[in-house]
Amino acid sequence: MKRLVLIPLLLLAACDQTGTGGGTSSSSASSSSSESSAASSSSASSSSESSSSIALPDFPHDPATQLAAGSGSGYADLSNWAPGICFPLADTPAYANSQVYRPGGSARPSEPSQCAAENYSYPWQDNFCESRSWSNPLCNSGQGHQGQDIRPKTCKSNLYWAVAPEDGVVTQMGSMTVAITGNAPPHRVYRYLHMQRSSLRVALHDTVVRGQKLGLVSNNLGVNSQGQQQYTTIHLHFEIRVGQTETLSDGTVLSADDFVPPYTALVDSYQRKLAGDCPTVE
Amino acid sequence: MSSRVKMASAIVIGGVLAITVAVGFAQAQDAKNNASASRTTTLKPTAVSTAKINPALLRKPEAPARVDWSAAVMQSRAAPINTLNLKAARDPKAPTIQPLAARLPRQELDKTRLPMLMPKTGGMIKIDKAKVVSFGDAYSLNLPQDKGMQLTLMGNRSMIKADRGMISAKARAKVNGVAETVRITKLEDGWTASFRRYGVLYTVDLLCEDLQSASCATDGYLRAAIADISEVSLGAEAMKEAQAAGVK
Repeated sequence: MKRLVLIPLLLLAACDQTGTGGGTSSSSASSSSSESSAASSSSASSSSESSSSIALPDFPHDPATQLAAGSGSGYADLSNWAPGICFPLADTPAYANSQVYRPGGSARPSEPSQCAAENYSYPWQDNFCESRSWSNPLCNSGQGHQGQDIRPKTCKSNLYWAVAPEDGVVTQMGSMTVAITGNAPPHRVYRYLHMQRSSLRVALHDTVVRGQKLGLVSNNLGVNSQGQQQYTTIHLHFEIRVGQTETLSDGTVLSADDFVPPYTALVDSYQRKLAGDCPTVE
Repeated sequence: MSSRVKMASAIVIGGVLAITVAVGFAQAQDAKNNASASRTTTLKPTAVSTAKINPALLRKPEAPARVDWSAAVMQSRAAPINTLNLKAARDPKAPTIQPLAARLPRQELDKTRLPMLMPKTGGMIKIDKAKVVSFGDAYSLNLPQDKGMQLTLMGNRSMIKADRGMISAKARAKVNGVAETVRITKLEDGWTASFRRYGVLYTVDLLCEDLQSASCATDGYLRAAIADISEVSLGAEAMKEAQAAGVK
């Protein structure tokens, strides 16, 4: 039934794919401002940009770069570093927010339940560059969280599928990590952490298509030195890494592979998901 | 057509239209009800014009980086030499394949249009389970190590222009035995390092099952691994590009 209402949106959203040869532009609404949305596919596959306005469903979300109070000095970049990706979870709603500065997190010890309603409700909140000891050049402090945490539809582990963001290849399989490298330039690396290992449907160097099931979101935090399983809250930690280059005034060229903020791309992908983009591929 | 037939047709068409409108209305109502029932927040469409998008926020890759083929070919011909390289010594147009690369699928090597940096033969990095995949202007080499560790080496010619100072003004390290400065970062599940060589971006990831293990508690193991990644192989496409660039 819903499909009938969404047909006009689907027809528009269907044009917006990264790495499938149909890369085009899309737009997204963002409460941060229209400039925080991005549109044209940066994939070097075909990139015929649309100039028409389109309507996408909005949803409550805080602006990119606005972190939980007291959770870190944040960052300034509003770019969409991965236009056209699929939202990395198959089911909606999903909730992007902090795992530390929310109930069940170490910064809220008096509220021990990670299943608190506050965690499973809008608005979304950015947590790239949230306080961490790890270096992250894009953070104002030079240190911080390297991705965006996303809780699945409900507070249940091993039930909700993570899906591929674009056509690519599985290039890492760790104890709690799956990485997809996009086929299309700039060959972004998307890293998924905390999936249930036994549920993984992919193996190293498998090819994947946009929206393909990868594994179930869980609370897997790997194992310690004694071989004991460690746990975190139930969430997907989603990272995007992109190769970058900078030319200095003397002609010297520097390059680095850095984590970039996923939030703007996720807001855009979620809006398209709500409009019917990215059907799940088994 | 008789007037009776015309009337019958009109009744049938009218009926179909009426049913269609009724079903459509019911479906629209259902959709409306379902939408409000399934979400705690009403989702409202928002129109956005692409004309409003700040072009500076569109992060598009630049053209594939220009490779320093001369330096890459010179390194690829350095020792050790295997049988394939003996052929290369006689024929400068032949691919130069180092021992590790010789064990990898030739098809992946040959379609890679960049110098394929790889661990040196007999070094600290275990290469017996190495697997490679090529994207043409990028490749990814996976190298499982002992104790649940794995190294992933990626070479990539496709990059996005960084904002001024995003690389130059940020911390980069000197690594013993490595000419270039290296960006080293701790990960939630290990370490990563990246550097530019021959005009190409190379990234080395170390994933650890046990983050507290001696090899993963600091960046020492990763640094040693980077210093060990020094051999270069050039497949058919890379060699073709090198030749086209005038390298002999």
